[in-house]
Amino acid sequence: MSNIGGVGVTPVEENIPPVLLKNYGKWDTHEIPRPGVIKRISETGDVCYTVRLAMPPSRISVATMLELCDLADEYSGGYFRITLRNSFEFIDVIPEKIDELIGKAEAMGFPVGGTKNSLHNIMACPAWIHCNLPATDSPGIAKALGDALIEEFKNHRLPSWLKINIGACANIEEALMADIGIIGVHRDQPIVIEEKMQICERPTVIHSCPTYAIKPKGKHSVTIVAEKCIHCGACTMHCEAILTGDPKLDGYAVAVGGKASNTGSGPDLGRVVIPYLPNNPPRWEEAVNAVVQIMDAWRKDANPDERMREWVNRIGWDRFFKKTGIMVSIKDIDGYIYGSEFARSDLRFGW
Amino acid sequence: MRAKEVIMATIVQYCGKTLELDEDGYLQNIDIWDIKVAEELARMEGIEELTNEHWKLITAIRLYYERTGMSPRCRDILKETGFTKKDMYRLFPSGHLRGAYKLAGLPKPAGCN
Amino acid sequence: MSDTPYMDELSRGPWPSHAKELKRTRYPVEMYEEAMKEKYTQWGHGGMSNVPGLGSGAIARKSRRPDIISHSHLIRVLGTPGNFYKASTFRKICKIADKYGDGSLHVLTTNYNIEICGLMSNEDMKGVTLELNAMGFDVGSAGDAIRNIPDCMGPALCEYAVVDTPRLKHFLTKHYIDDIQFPRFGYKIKTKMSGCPNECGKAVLHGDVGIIGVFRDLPRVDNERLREWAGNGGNIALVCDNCPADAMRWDNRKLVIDGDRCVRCMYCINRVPAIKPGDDRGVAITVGGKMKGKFGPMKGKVVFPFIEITPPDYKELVRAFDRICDVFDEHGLKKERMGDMIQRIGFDKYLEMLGVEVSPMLFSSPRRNTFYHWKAEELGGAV
Repeated sequence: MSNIGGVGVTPVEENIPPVLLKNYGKWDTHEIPRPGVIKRISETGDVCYTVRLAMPPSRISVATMLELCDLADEYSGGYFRITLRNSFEFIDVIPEKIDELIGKAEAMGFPVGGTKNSLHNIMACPAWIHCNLPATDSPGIAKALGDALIEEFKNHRLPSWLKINIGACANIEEALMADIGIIGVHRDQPIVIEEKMQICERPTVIHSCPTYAIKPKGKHSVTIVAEKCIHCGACTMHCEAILTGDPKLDGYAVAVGGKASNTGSGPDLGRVVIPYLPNNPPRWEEAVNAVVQIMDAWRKDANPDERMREWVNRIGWDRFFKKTGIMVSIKDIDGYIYGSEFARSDLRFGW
Repeated sequence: MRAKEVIMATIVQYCGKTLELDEDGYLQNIDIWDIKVAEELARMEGIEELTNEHWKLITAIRLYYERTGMSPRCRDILKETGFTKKDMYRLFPSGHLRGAYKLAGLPKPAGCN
Repeated sequence: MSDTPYMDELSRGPWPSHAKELKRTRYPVEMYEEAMKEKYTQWGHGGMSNVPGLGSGAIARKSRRPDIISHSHLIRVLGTPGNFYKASTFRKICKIADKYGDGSLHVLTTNYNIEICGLMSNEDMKGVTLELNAMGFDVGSAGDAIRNIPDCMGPALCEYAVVDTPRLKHFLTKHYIDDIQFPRFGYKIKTKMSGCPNECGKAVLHGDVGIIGVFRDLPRVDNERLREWAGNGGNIALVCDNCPADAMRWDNRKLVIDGDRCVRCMYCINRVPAIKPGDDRGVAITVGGKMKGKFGPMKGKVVFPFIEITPPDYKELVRAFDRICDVFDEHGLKKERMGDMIQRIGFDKYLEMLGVEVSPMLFSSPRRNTFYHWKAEELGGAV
């Protein structure tokens, strides 16, 4: 039985094209001749063209993947890469055939773009497709946003790059790490199924609660103090007998200004600016409107080469709300563990 | 198709006791656990005979659970019994959470396991 | 009138559609359609399932709607170094997914695995794993283990790469394959790698352990090439203005980078081809970045500001990584992420447990309170 697993991953050399192997570590510079196409130039004079496609959020069928493999065989010697934003990238495309490849990819329904100062591929978790805890449907929102912002994906006409990530519950890391993030929020109190509680580990459930809202009850069960619940979902994660509350009350929040790069003011997580919008499948108009509203204000006001977070840092959060026209509510003020750090202690207002 | 085996909770009569099992074979009424029950659970898990090594692990897990109300971390048990992680998987092919804890009559661990 | 109006609506439009993709597979589309109608997921809690003989790799998912489907499990395949694939290799993965699963893939997950979805039994999972093993791939990235160790493309295709992340990924995955496939911790450890401070891998923000390529000396400037670049329309004045540390001086002949100001943020390197990362290279390690868990979203914290990279055995890095895992194993509670653990026990105590050498690189500012504990031995026997 022990001959299963233990293999690790394939060696580096196995899946990269010869031109990359030859120029490994020797790449010198790159150009972007058109949106979605990157020309990498090596010290040795070799060039490597890559063509980037948007991918459907979350799931893709085997049939489509096979078609993309066929395209790779025909145009890029059979090599491709999935980028860290889940775009599909043909590696080492034959230069003369780039236009043909783009034509074929677009005919298949895969837009080409997502480089430099444009909208990059939208990342989403599976949510309603295959998950038990989501408050919203990230692939659906991603698709609706993609349709609305397709021109930004295909053209370089934003001040800097725009990354949008969507997580359907507070567990998904991605959502606070993009310029605009959407995070699913539950609003109803979790439901405890008392007769099933004995299959849960009570101590784990109780200490998982950040606000100590879960109290033991009887021999196996627990109760949840409603006023203390902050709907983080930790208990529903760790116990099968606790369910998220009324789905009709679920929705999502919008966060702005996450950034990983060390340039500018350095890496930081996004901040929640819209605490709740209702679920509205299949077209998610509220989400699309909110994102367009934020994006337009940024596009109008930002300096060239200024990412969302740098723009906000320059103008201040007070002016951010003014310029985007987003309504402020008490939910924008952080009262959680680090809350006091974000309160204002200076008088440098941006009236 | 395979629906039956996964949805229905099964009820097994064994040595005059009623074992309520959930769809994954975890004991639902965990208070009735004893040595005989463990042997029956092992049989259902596909472990033919519980050796001394098995028992050492199961007792350690059971004692920890009765002491704290929590299933132990893998480390706590290995430290207490002196086994290695590989031993654990040798003795309980489906791992500590799904094998050893199940036999010790502990509640089903939740989350992305 | 079609019986899936929501999915039909989501199939329209120019952006690639997951609804259209799902319809090309054997995925039970009613589950998704119902979810949109009810605005509630139709999938239930995990349940138990595993690859026989392995501790991780599989995620179990039960359905709340047994009338449509009872359950559907999935397997996570560890991504290749740099996430490069050969079409011929990927076809085999597709074939496996089609043979055992429902024909849908998740490429890639938020931890950069490939998921093979729609598996129905443990035997299928074993079959998938054995077939993947035969082609040099492996499963993992589930359970309270070290998860997949994703990396950026590194020097394979990127001119900024400071360290060789694809080779490092290959090494680390092989070296820690036991801890990846046999869970032993209180909770998961997500490790992320980025080849340079540009941080495409987002290691600081969502890695329990983040490994990021850094350099200690100043960026290298090729002045001759820079003059040529500026002569061809390169806007060096703008780059100097935008430098976050205001460390660049350009006098039309020579660029001087002020070593007392430069923060090695990569901004100039990204903008000007004549500036390259320095030569004194290594990695920094951060811990505790996360989103979920008790204390909410956190950024990672630097614990090892500089570790030299020494292939083939990466001794220093492995020692640091082992230390981080051991401390987590020893002190982490059940279902407590590393960031929460550090918050609970205090960052200063955590650093003591790790046994790192204290240096000013470990904090952005010293503390503003005097609430520290003095041990008896620190008092010189006065007590």
